[in-house]
Amino acid sequence: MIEFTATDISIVIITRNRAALLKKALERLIELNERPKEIIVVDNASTDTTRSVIENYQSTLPIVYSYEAKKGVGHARNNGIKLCKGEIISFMDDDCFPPLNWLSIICDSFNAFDEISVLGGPVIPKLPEKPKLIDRFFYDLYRF
Amino acid sequence: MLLEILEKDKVSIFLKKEKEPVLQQFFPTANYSVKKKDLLEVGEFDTSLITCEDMDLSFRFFEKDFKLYRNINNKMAHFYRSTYKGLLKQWFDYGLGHPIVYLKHEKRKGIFIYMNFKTIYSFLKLEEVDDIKIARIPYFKYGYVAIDAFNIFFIASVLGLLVNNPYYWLLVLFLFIFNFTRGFNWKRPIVSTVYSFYRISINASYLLGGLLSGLSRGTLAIESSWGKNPKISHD
Repeated sequence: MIEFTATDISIVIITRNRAALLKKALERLIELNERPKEIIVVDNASTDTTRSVIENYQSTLPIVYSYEAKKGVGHARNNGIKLCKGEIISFMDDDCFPPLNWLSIICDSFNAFDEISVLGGPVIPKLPEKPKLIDRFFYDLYRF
Repeated sequence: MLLEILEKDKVSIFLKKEKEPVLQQFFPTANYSVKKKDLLEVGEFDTSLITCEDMDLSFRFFEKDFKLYRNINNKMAHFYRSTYKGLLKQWFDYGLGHPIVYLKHEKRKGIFIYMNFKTIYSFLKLEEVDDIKIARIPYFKYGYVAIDAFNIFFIASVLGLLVNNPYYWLLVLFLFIFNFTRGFNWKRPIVSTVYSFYRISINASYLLGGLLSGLSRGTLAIESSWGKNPKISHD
């Protein structure tokens, strides 16, 4: 049985015109306890500063940049899958904040139970610092 | 034997196995890790789907008997689009997308109405209901409909308004109580009313998308995704 480590994980992030959020997500990936094999960021036809944000982080993170001209998350994710070199592919969104030990949780789970093909987990809404009522509504809507 | 029990216990504590591809339980790609070799066997994301492509992929994994697990420690924080317009569109798109995914997966065909006991229990505020399973009640057999109790009341109430039948008005009253008592904060009635308006309009948007998409394809797939009774503090 293969023992997976963080260096077997390829993270795939799809982004489109959300440079500010992507920046926060990449900042969070820097803080992770371990480094993945690669972080594939697929730019799905962005027209904002997404590309320059990604380039700013290429020296600190093992980022692979890819551009997908066809709009649609399906096309973009398939583009990311083709580039993956890791044994495990972990998808996250550009507005996500994984736990600091995210990679070790993934590895531990796959290592503990060989039969796992897909691993998921709760997606917890993150409230802004000064939430408005609509933010609270979002929080309740997605809190399951 | 003891080892086996311990091993099972370990599984139940460490990972919660999704025992069945329950309609509203799949893994969103916001937090989705997969073995590459299994993904290549199941196939990539379906690019023909407008939305719900992650639901489709999860169903395909189930249909090929691959195991999907949820690790409760694997918590992903997520910023959602906090505009009312964005929320309406998002749920309208979910409504459009669900029937297409249902049609694609032949095994999921068939009408059934299911009751989400979690919703009912939480509405009645009986107890914490995390362990109560969603039960499905088979119903007519024509086309493909998945509709839950909440939306039955919702649709019936709207029909009640149209036909102006006194019995339907009872359903309208139920809908009103259901929506306006859940999470209602009596100290902040205006805020709570706005909040309830969000709830009803978002659900209406989802239903509209589902009806438009489903009826044009000879199917329906309408389900509630209200997981828990909101405990809004309005702070």
